[in-house]
Amino acid sequence: DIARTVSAPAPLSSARIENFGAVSYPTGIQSPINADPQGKFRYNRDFLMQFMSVCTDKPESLPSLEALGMDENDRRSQSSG
Amino acid sequence: MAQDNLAVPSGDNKYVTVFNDPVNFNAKHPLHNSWTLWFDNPGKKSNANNWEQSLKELITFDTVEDFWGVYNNIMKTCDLSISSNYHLFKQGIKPMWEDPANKHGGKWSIQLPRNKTMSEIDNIWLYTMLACIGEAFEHADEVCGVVVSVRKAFFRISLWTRTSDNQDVAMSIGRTLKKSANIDGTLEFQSHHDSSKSQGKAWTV
Repeated sequence: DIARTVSAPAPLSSARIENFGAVSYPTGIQSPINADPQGKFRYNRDFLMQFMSVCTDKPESLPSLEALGMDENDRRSQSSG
Repeated sequence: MAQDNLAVPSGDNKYVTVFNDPVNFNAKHPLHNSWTLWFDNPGKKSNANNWEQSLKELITFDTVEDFWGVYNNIMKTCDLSISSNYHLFKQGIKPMWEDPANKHGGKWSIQLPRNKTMSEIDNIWLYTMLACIGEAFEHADEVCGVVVSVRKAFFRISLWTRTSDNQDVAMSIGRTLKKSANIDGTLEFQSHHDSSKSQGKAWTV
């Protein structure tokens, strides 16, 4: 069913990349360099860090900070611990 | 494992990654494992001994993109209140000794003095998680999960392993963790069995 997902790519349907040879990264973006010969997905830190400033949307299923007891008040009431 | 040519788009119909188009991308970078992030702050409850009740499963993800969506929308470690913990474990493994995957395992850990580590702890924890999701460990199947604990005087980083009887395997994991997370100091390994009793023999890196 991976094949089915990929064969009909629609915006935001977000298939899982199966073949990095079919990806062309923009100039300045490092490709995953330690691709594992056994078909395992391995990424080094430099590659992963490139996503930090790009993937900022909150996942819908992530609970709110308040629901976790992690509200902004914590941050303030705890300054110099 | 085998070439799955069916999964490769043909011709110009290539994957559009988040770097190509941050809004209309159609392909994400898969992780080898699915990971679940847990959070707990037992100190906030009046009955602090009921730890399991305060343990919250936040979310499970299996792509690089989704990891960052989570990371960018939760509190940084340095902003968490005292006695909080984040746990990042492979999906299906609960962050507790009793889980079958942890029962015979152990952990690498280090306590980092709070005052000296405040400015670095966010990166140390981030790099620890990246080593896990990026599969930096030679014996990656041995890795169950990682924990950061916020305490009054220190931060503790721990990596939980599936077994605790093979020193070579354990040492390899310890060395990779220390290097990947830029940890300055000595990590100690103890089996969960030992640490629940008195001091056992400790391996260090």
